[in-house]
Amino acid sequence: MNPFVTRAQKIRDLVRRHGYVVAFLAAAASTAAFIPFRPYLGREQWGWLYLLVLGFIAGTAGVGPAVLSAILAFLCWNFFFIPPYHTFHVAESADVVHLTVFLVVAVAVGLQTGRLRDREAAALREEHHTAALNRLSGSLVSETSVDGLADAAAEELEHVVGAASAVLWVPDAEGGRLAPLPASESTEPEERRAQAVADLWRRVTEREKREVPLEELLAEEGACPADDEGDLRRRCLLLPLVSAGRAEGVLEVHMHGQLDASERSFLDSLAHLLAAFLESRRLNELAVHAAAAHEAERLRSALVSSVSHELKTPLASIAAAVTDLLDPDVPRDPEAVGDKLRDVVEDLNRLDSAIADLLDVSRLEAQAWQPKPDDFEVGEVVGWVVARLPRQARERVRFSVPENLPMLRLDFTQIARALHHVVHNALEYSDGPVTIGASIGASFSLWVADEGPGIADAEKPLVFDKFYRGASGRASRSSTGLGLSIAREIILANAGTIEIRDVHPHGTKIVLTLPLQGGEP
Amino acid sequence: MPAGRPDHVLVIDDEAQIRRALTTILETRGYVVAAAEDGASAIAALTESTPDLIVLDLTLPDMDGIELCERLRSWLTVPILVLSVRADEADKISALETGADDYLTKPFSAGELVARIRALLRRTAPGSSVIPVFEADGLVVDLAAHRVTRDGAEVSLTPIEFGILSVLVQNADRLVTWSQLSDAVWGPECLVEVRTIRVHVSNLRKKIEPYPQVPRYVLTEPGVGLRFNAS
Repeated sequence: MNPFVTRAQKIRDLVRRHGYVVAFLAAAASTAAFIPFRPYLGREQWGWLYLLVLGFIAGTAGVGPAVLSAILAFLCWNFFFIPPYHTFHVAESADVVHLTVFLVVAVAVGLQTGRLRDREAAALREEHHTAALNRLSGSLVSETSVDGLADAAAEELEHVVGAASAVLWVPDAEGGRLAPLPASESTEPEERRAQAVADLWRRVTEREKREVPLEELLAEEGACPADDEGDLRRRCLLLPLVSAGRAEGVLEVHMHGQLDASERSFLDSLAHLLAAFLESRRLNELAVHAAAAHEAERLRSALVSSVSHELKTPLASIAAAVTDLLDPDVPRDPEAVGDKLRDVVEDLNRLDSAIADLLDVSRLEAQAWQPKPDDFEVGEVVGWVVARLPRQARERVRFSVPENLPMLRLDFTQIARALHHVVHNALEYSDGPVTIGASIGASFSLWVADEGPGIADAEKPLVFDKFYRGASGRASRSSTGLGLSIAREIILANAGTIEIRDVHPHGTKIVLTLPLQGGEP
Repeated sequence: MPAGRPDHVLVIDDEAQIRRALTTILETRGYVVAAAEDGASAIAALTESTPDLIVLDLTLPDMDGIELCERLRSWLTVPILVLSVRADEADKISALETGADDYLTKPFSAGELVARIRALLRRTAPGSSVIPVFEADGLVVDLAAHRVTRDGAEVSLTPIEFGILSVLVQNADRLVTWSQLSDAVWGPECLVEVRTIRVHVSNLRKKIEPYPQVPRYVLTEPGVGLRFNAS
């Protein structure tokens, strides 16, 4: 905003608001300026100069002040410039004609010019209001946050109606208490103001329940308690923001003076816009909630189907193998019995790891698995995970851990569990060596690289989803499809990140990045 | 196992199937097994005769497993092996703090169970319980001669490092808690911080591990202590 423009606007505003005073001052000032030059001009010429002053007042202050200054000019001219001076008595009859014609013309000019000015000013104001509303509806589309909108609305109100401040009160998530926005405007809302807003809100919501017509709801309007400054001219208005559906909030506006009709209608339009925005935001949130509930339902049913599959399949094959072994009618050699039993053990391991995965998921979902930081070195957690791998898997593991890494302070068991899932995944989706590496800079990175076929870019965002099985691993039977999602949840719970990178020439590297020091439990 | 008297094991578990399975596994390997289904009958059995080892499940119908463990420890010195499930990591740690000697997470194989029990009994067996020489993959620890070699080359250890290593090797495959380690190396009257022990363990690893950054002998048991992995 150009400061010069605002100052010019302020002067114009002043003239507009205090037109009658300005008319008096103008008459007095011009008369005082004219008197020293009285000998130089004929008495009838002063009328023309007074007409000039009148034109200025009519052009800036409107009809009323214009008529007032016409009468004042008539009187001043008569009193100071028509002999005998300093009386209203007129000596010559020609002057009576001059004066009468002047009065008629001056009033007519004042009326006409003032009316033109009023009409122009109204048109200009209308234009301002429309432009402000347009800007605001633009921000309705671009703004996603209520705070941003509240700021934009406050700014427009300040501009257009010269409001001292404007605060938007919206109900919180539970629809109960109203909180003021922008928050910076009133961090600690004054008790009385909050009370006034709450009263209005209660009246509106009660009426809304009784299905009162919209117009009546809008007519509910409150005044807030006087401001602390005790400035009587400062006024405060509370406007309910009502959409077609229901009350959406309350707009609190503080002004320096009275509002005229056009400002009032601007305020109403602005209230409508705000209500529409709040309504669409509320409906949007409802839709998002519904989508989240739907997603949770989908995951739950996927979990149930995965559980029944991952638990029932090994169980069924164990039951079949064991009941077969118990059948006394079939002769068999000890080697065949041994083979069958080894299959049973494999199925049991599969059952165990499926149960462990489900346990992890349920603990993470219930947020009942809070990190408990402990001091350790990276290698200790890597060694712990590798020592628990089956022998053939252990032989495929390589290390790339630098020496003299500093001590970490994180939850050992959780990091081990996350690493276990990532390592297990790498071993399962590739045949070659799997490298576990670490590095420490500002944060701590633990990575697992394989030399498998790699993960396509399109698939990368999906691999951390629950129950997602990679394209090349669909045939794999010993997996719940939960491993990487568990790893991600654990890492997130420890304030870290997990990401996938490609390895040249082929392969995948999963990088876990964690802070050096986890938070205290 | 000494040829004369077979080792006696008391199994305390509320699940009949687990009791039966453990009894079978242990009896076929020459142990004499008694079983108790709750804390009260376990205490009753223990007042009659003292076993050589106790296997204790932490979830019991009549009392808290950790509490029972603490009570047993007040008048018994025999090793206690705790059975836990994955979700009770906290319980497992408090059991080890109150006097249990080692733990096994369910489900476990017969092999794991027997290996744990043997490791625990080896320590308490009188006389020739100490392994004079430990040897694996190029690492040789000769406790009697105070000599450690790695791929034939002599490794020089500080007295504290050797102390830690000898405690770990004598308790190979068995959990050694931080406080046990502190008692055995620094003496029971000395309160050594875990942080301090860690520094010595870290130095020890640098000297004896084939790839010190990722230990394979001296493994960490999170929140509890260390375990020397001899297998």
